Amino acid sequence: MSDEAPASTLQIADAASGARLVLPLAASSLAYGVVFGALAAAQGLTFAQATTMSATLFAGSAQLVVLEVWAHPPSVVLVTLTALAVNVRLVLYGATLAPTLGRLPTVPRYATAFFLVDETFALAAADQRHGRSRPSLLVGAGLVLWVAWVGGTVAGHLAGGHVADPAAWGLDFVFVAVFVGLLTTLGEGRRDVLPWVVAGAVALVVERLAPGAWYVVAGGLAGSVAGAAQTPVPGSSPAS
Amino acid sequence: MQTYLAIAAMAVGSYGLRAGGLWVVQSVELPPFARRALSHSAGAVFVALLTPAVLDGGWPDLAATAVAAAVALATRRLWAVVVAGTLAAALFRSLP
Repeated sequence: MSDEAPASTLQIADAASGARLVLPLAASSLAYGVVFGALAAAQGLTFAQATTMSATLFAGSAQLVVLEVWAHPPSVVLVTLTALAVNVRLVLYGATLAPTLGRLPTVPRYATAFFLVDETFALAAADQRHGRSRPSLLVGAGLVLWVAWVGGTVAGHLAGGHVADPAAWGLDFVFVAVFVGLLTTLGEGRRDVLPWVVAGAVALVVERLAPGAWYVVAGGLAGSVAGAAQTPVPGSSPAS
Repeated sequence: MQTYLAIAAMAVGSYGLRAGGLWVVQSVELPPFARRALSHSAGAVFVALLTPAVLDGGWPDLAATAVAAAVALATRRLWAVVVAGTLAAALFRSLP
């Protein structure tokens, strides 16, 4: 909350909590990094290129989608637009967590923004919903995830073609399982039903109609608006 | 060279998205409706990401999602959800 005392730059205890909370997700991020590294090697990206991409882009789903449209040489415009379309949801993440990140001075605030990914966002959003808003949680969780993601990429590229079909092992399903788990940490009961149903329905329709990953943004926006439009706190007793 | 140019463009653009949402909200006074909408954005985005992925995977993925959700509600432990969901998906997909 904006009226709380500003957090000094890095709270070690909060960062450690974030690191601990994110560990199971870091394991799946590592597995995903291995898949990305192996696919990048198959696409002809060098070790340095794949590792640089993971270290600077730090966006699992965007990087995997970009590999699908990769060519030699790549079209800078095409791959950039593709990556940004998958990543547009990051705008919502930064906006949603502004009360948490706003407790930091400007430079650490915008440095922390680099660590906004799905997993860290879910942890920090749940923290904020529960009234704690610890920005260092995001840093600790983000660092652990970053190491896992880059480390996985390194291992996957080195292993190259030795990684068997990930789908046969259910590894592509890790992504779904992670999000199901994150949703249950975020959910608060009845007031989530309408926004979630609207988000899912709109995402399905837009996925059929529009190319790329716009369905994520469309469903996310529609669900958010539906949540804001519903009558506040259903089930609470009327005031008079 | 072109590859590194593409990587740099993607990295700068993605950071711009991360910082941009934060910057807009802190520079503009948001009406209450927009603030309420943002409080729902996390769950809505995740449901939007998940729904097509699960439905396109057919019944094995639907069943594995049900397993993951049941484990999530029962244990509230992310690692258990990931392990159970992934094993369930591998199992159900291997069935004839």
